[in-house]
Amino acid sequence: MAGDATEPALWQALTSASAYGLGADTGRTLTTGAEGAALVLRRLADTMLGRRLIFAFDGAERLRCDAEMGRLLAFSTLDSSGAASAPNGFENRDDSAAIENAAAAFEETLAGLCSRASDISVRSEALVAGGTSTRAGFPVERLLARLQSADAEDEPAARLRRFLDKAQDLIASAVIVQGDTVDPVKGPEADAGALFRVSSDLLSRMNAPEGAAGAPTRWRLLIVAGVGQVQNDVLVAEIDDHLLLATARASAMPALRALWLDALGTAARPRA
Amino acid sequence: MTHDALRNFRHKIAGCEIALLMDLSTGTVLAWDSDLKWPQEELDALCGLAARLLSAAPGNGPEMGMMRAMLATETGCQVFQRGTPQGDEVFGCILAPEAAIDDVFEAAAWVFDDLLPGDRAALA
Repeated sequence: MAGDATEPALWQALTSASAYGLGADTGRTLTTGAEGAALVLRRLADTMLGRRLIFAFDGAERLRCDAEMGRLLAFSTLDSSGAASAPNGFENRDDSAAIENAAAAFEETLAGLCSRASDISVRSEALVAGGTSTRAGFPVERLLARLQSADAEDEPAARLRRFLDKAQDLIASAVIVQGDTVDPVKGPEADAGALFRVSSDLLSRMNAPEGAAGAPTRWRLLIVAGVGQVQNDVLVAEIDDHLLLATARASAMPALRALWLDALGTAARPRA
Repeated sequence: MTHDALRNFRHKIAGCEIALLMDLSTGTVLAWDSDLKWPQEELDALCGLAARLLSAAPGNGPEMGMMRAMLATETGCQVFQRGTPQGDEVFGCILAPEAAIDDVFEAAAWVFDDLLPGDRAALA
């Protein structure tokens, strides 16, 4: 086992000794901009050892990214002569707003490049000395998740019903709410009013102004489990302006979340 | 010891960005572990969210709070769990958006077994 002192040196040796190639990747024909962005992000997410990836769009190299451990460390755009713009980095661990801004700038750059490209290829180089270890980087899986969510074409109600179909064995009663319309979809109608009251309380707690529940997102899934011998957990799922309120079998939280991601087309990773 | 328990949790659970221990009675984060430095206001916000979600009492009677809460969004998954049913100590973590959570509650229980052995043994 490597101790604390030797681990960085071993890591550096592994990084230097490894091939820089990514395997055969001669390019891929794309049908949508989102498909191209997903391809680029997947390449970055799969990069564990420190590498500089140069992406070509329709044969012209336009984007250069430094990546390590599935994190985007910095990126630059390349002009037609191959000159790079000033790198946009994610150096400052203490400034989460700056890191989010840099991530948003990368998403915008990538969307612009991919919207015009029908073919994307990539090559890789060693990262220049100077170091990856001091840079915080940004988790590329998070960018992928945002992209997948933004690219989803389903209507929210259809997604909610698809989730209900998948989770029917785990859910006791459920209603779907849109605006003023409450639509009982499973269980006794008498439960609908109580579910609505309970879920309104949970939503207000989730949305309280003093301490946001994370950045604004398109969907949220909240499951709470009671103390003691409580029969059911309570589930609140929200996509855009549609709500699914449900009681679910106790202790089914992990399974429900996995089914939820599956219904959205984003399968949970298997356990490591 | 607390920090070691949180670090061990993060090593066990793939995709864990931060693990923390909170005291809801004082609204403070007692300890946390992450690869990145988290601003205090974000830690405070996490503690506030845990307090709000775990103090909800949907249908269990006014005196009962919640034992566990999980809030998943497209950018991550936040999990909170009390150490004991009436206790104020709460474990929390943030996981990557697609990380599996099958083992999270068991691993969180191990954290409390380390930190609150007497209280936990009384529950057994």
